[in-house]
Amino acid sequence: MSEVQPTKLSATSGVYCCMDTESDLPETPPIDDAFARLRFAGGRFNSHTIPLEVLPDLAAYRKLIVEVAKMLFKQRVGTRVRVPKGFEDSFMIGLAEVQGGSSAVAVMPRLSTAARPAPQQSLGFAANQASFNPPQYPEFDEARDYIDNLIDSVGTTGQVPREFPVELAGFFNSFGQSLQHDEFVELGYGGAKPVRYDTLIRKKIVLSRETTYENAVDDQFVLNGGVSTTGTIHVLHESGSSYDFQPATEFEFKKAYQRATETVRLVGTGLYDKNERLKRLIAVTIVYSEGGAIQPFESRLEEIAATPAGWYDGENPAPSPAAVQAMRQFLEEVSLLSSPLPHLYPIPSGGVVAEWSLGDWEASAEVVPSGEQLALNAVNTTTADELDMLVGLNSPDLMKEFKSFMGAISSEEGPFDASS
Amino acid sequence: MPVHSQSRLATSDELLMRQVHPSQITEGRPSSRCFTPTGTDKGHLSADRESLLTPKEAYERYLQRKQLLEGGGTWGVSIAEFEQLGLLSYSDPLPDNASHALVDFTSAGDEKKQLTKGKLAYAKAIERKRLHPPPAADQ
Repeated sequence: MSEVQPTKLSATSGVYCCMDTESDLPETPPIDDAFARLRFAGGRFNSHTIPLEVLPDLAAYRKLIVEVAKMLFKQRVGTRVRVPKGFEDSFMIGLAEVQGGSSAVAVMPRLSTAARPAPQQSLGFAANQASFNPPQYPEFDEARDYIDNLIDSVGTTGQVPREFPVELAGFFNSFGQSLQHDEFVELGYGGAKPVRYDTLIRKKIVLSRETTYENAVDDQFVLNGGVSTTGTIHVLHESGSSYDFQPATEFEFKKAYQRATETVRLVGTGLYDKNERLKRLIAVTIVYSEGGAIQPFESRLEEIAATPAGWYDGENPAPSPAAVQAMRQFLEEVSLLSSPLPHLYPIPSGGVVAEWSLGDWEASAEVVPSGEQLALNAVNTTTADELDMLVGLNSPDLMKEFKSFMGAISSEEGPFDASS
Repeated sequence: MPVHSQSRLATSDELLMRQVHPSQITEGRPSSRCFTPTGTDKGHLSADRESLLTPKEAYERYLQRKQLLEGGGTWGVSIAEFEQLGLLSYSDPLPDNASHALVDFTSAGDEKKQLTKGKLAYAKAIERKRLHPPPAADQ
């Protein structure tokens, strides 16, 4: 029998996606009995798929249901009572199917808790395993309906009901955060009364009980130094406001710190007030607007390192590991400068070359197979002027020479600031 | 790969076509090395003559010869453009490829000078854009 084995999307999400496999696990409930059907429509969903960036919204939906279910449980039993142990873990939903059409429908059945990958148990307890299954709390179904009714009410009246608890508002921050302005989710799709949920409704619910809400950030900022002890980067917005954030890695911090005064694009999540003013950057990544290669050099070098011997004429060597490693180290330094990132290629000799098209100049930096030397060459394709330099990759003057080289070929075009 | 004066190709706008290996193109940008002879070429750059083979045919033959599913495409520089760079072109038919031609880079000098000429030829090819598959195929 073909069955469905749940695979957890994350350690804490409680949302599973499904793969057909043979296993001893119980069957997923029929799709007709799905706990929830969410129809994603507009914008990106017109391609009838759910982009991977939207999957965290499904985990956020599950978390929202859990929190509402806890509230309903306490309302029923008593607000001073804690929910029973295992209450949250008893509720698992899975993404069983994405249906196409004019949009994309996520079908999410509720999984049996026995379907959850369990820790290893001694065989002696196997016969009693059923007794460990937690009860099926009705509050989760009620929570789903509560959320549907709340969203319906806000969409219909434009008001958030007064009885809506303040502590739940924040959980709407994450659910629907990936939706863009022209997209929405229809909860209860296929049911008697589907309800529409979009960014405006999310904002209204969150701001009904909070002074700020989370939303996407995608804007231009100027790097303005930082604090190395805390890994904090300062940025300025054209509105005159300043913000701080902490890049994900030390390398990203160092790069942003050294490239102060440069205008970059920040993409991620921020905290906004009721007037759409950005109050704080929560989690953003930096997109440098320098032209050149888009693919990160690390992944391109991995591709080059995997190029087999004989790739060019059947007899040439593969790119040497020494050349690939030397180019990696060189580019780690180059990426700290305000220069475009080069396009990278293997060369039949076993070396690796980095190339830039800068105005009229075709520039290259070739690492020889031994990984010991860097041959810099630039040709002006209009005047046929040329520039050649040979630098030791272990030379303490390597970056000084490189800046001099790039400065010489960009003094008229101005794509590169050699003083950086 | 000897080149003989009697096989020299007359000045014309005929394109000499180069095939780009998939490793030598990234984000739609071919390497400038594609128009410079490698060490084993001994200063002579191989190409296909457009008058005897279409860019599409040249591309498909290349895929077949290299047993590739996809290549970096056919790019071209004219005989006249090579001549403007001081590089002469010669017909060099092979048993399995009557359209084969050679561009003589030895007149440019050492490898460094050949690289310079190769980059100048590359700029011509880039300006002309890819001949096959047509650039729109990327979109």
